[in-house]
Amino acid sequence: MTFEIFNHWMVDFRQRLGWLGILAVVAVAVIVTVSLLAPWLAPKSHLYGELGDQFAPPSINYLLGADENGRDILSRLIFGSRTSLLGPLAVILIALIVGVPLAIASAWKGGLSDVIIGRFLDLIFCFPPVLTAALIVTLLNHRGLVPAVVAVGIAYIPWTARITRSAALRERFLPYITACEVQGFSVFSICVRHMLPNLSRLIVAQSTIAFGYALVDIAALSFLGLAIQSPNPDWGLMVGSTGSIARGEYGQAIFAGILIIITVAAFSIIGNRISEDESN
Amino acid sequence: MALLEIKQLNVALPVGGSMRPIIEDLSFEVEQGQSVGLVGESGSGKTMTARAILGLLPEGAQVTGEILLNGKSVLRMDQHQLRQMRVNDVAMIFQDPRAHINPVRTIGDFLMETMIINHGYSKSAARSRSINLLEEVGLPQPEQQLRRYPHELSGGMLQRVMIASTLHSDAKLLLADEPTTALDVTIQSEVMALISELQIEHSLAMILITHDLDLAVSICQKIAVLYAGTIMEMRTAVDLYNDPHHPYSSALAKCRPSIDHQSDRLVTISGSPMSAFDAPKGCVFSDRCEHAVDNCKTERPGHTQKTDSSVRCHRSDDLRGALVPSLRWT
Amino acid sequence: MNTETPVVSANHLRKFYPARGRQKGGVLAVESIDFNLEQGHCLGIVGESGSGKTTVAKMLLGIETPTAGTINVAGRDRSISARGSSERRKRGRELQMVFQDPYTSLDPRQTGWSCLREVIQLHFPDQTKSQVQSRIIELGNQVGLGVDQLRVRPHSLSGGQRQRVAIARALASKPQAIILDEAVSGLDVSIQAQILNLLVDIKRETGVAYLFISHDLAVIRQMAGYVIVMESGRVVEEGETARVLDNPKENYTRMLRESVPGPGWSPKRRNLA
Repeated sequence: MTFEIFNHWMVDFRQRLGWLGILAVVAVAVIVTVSLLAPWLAPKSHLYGELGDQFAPPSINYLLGADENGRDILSRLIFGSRTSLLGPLAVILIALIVGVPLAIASAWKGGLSDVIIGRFLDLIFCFPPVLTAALIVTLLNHRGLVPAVVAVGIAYIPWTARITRSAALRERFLPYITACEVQGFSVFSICVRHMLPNLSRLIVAQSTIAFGYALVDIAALSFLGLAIQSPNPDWGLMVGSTGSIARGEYGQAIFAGILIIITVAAFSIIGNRISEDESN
Repeated sequence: MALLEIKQLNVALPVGGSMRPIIEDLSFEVEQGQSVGLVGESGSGKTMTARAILGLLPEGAQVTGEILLNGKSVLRMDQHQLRQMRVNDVAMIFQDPRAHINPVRTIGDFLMETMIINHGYSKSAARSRSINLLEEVGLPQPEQQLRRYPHELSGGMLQRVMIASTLHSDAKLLLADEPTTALDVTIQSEVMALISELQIEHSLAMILITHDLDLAVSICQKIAVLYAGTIMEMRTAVDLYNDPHHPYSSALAKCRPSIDHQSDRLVTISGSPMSAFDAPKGCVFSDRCEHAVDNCKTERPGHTQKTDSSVRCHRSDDLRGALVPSLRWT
Repeated sequence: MNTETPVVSANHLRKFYPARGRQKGGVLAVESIDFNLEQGHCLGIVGESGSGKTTVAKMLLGIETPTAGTINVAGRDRSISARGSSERRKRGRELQMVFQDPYTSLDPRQTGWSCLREVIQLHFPDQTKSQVQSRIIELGNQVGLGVDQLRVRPHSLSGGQRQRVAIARALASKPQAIILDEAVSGLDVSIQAQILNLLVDIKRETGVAYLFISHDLAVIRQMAGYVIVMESGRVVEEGETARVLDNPKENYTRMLRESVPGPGWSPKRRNLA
C-alpha cells in the first residue's frame, strides 16, 4: 500500500514538475550536496594559493585553472556555493519572519491598521538593497555577509508582505474562516492553524522565486565590495574579480556567472511550477 | 431530417493520466422548432453534451459517435467551420452571464460587435438593431442600456442581454445551460417565460439544460433524463412526469419537497449521483435503484425504443404502476 | 432549563450600512425584524437576493453589529459584539451555523476528523483523548459519515458529504440553535432530500432549534413551521408556513409563490417596472 502511495506521489510529482522542473530539482540537489560536502570535494584550498601559479590554465592540478592569486578556481566555486545558498536562505527567512505575520495581521484587521502597515512597508520599499546595505555597513563599520543579508532581507520584506497580504485577504472572508470565528477560536489560532497552512504553498512558491533574486542581489553587493570580502570565495565576488578581468582572464567570472544563472533559474523554475500547481 | 442528431456519442476526458468516460452511448434528436430538456444531476454529462454540440470539448477529449447539425458533422469540422457554426447556426446562453461578457466594454459594444464583424452591419444599423433586440427582451430604455456596463445591470437584466444577443443571428438552435439557476426565482420565471416566448416566435429549436425537472417539464416538449453520462429515459415532457418509465425519473420527481404540503420524510435516492466513470457495471443506476434485481447489476440495459420514447431499464414494464408520482401535471 | 424562553429572539433588529467615500446615501440592509425561535422548532426566513436574510444571520452570529435592536440567544444579550475569545467561545456553544457552499466552508487542508477534534477540544477541553475520539465517531454517526470519510480531506468528498461534515461541526459544540443559510441550495436534488431528512432527524434527537434561511419555498415548507418573508430589508409577511404559502396576504408573497415551478405551472411574463 505504501509503495502504491509513493508510486502515485512520484507520478504526480513528475507530472507537476515536467522535465524542466525535474532538471531544476536535480540541479538544486547537486548544488546543495556540493555545498554540504565542500570540504571533501574541493581538491585544493579555497583560501590560499601559490603565487607562482597565477592564472594557471586548466590542468590536472587546477581543473578549472587558477585565479590572480594562484588559488584553485574549482575549489573556490565549490566553497562559494555555501555563501550563495546560505545568504539567500537567510534573506528569505528574514523576509518571511517579519513579512508574513505583518501581512496576515494587516489583512485580518483591515481598516486603519492595514493602512498604517501598508505605508510602513512603502517606506521600506523606497530603499533599494544596495542603499540599505551601504547604510548598515557604514553604521556598523563592518563588511561581510551578515550586513549584506540583513540589508537585502529588509528590502524583501515589503515584497513578501504584499504578496502574502493579497492572498490572506482572499482567505480572510472565506466561509471556513468565518466558521472558525463563529466557533470562538482565538484570532491567533485561526491565523496560525487555518490561514497560514492555506497560504503556505503560495509562500513557498514565492520564496523559491525570491531565492534567485536574493542570490543576485547579494552577488551584486559582493561585486560592489559591500558583502563578502577576500579571501573568502563568493560567486558574486568572482564575477567581479577586477584582478582577473583587467588582465583579460575571464575564466572565473564566466564559471561563477554560469553557476549563478543556473542556480537562480533552477529555483525560479521550481517556484513557478509550485505556484502554477496552486492555481490549478 | 432532424435539425440536430446525436448518435451514440461517447466522450472521455483525460484525468490524471487515464481516460475517464463522461458520456456513454448518448443518442437523441431535436426537430426544427422543438424544445428538449436535458435534465440531470452532477456527473450526468449534460453540460459536456452541450460543449460537444458546440465543438468546445476540452483538450485531449476522446470522442466517438456522430453529431449532425443540419446534416453536417460537428465532430469533423475544423476550427473555421466551428466558428462559423457558432456564429450562424447555434446560439448559447450560459448560466453565469457575467462570466461571458467583457466587463470593461459596454452592453452596446457587446451586442454590436458580432453584428459589425460577423455580419457586416454598419455601425448605425447595428445600433438600431441592438435597440430592437433589447426592446424585444423587455429591457426598459434600450438606448440608455447600450451605454451601460455589465456591472451596472442586475443578473436578470444581464441574462436578458445575453438572450438578445442570441436572437440576432439566424441560429436555428438555442442551447441554454442552466440559464436561470443563478437568478432569483421571480426573475427566473420572467426570464424563462421570455426564452419560451422567443423560442416559439422565432421557431427556434431549444435544448434546455437544467437540474430542475419541474422547470423543464413546464417549458419543454420533450425531456431526456440523464444519469452518469447516458439517457435513462426520453419522452414527451408531461408524460414523463405523469407516467415515468424509469425508476430514476420517478425518484427525481418524488424526492423534491412539495410547496403544497409538508412530508413526514422526503423520498430519497440512496448514495450520490455519479459520473460515467464511477458508475457500476450493468445498469449505471443499479447501485442506487430500489427496484434493482440481479440482472440489473450485471447487464447494461439497451434503449427500449418505442414511438417517440425510449427508456433504459430492464424492469420498465414490470414497474409501471410503482413509479407514478403523487401529483400529476395537468 | 426554562422552556418558555425562546432560544433565539430578535427585537427591532436593524442594519444600516452608511455611505462610504463619495457614494451617496447608504444601504438599509434590514429595516426592522422581530422573531422568537423556540427550542426544538424551526423558523424559516425566505427571501431573494438583497432581501437582508443573510444580514440577519450575520448579526445573530456577531459577524455584523446591529445598527439598532437587540438580540438574545440562550437568554443572554448579544447586541454588542463579543469582546475577547472567551466570550466568542461561549457564544459558539449557544449558536452555530452551516454555510451555503460546501466547497469553501471547510478548511481544504483539514480532514473532517481533525476539524471536529479541534472544535471539541476548544469547547470541552477537559475531555480525555478517548472521550474526544468517541465523540467524533458519535457525531459522524449522527450525520451519516463513517470514519473513512472523516479521515480524508474535503476534496475527496462529494458536496453532500462535505455538508454533512459542516453539520457535524455545527453540532460539535452542542449548540441550542443552528442557523442554516441556504445550506442545501448548492446540492443535487437527490442529495438535498437526504440532507433535509437528516436535519429533521437531528432536530428530533437533540432538540436543537433551526433558523432556516432559504430562497426555496418548497424547502421552507418542508422544514419550517413558521416563516418570515423578507424583501429588500423589510419583513413583508410572516406566519405559519402553511398559511403563508397557501393563502398569502401580500402581493410579494403571492408573486413568490407563483414563481415556483411545480405541477401545472408555467412561467409568466410580467412587465418590468
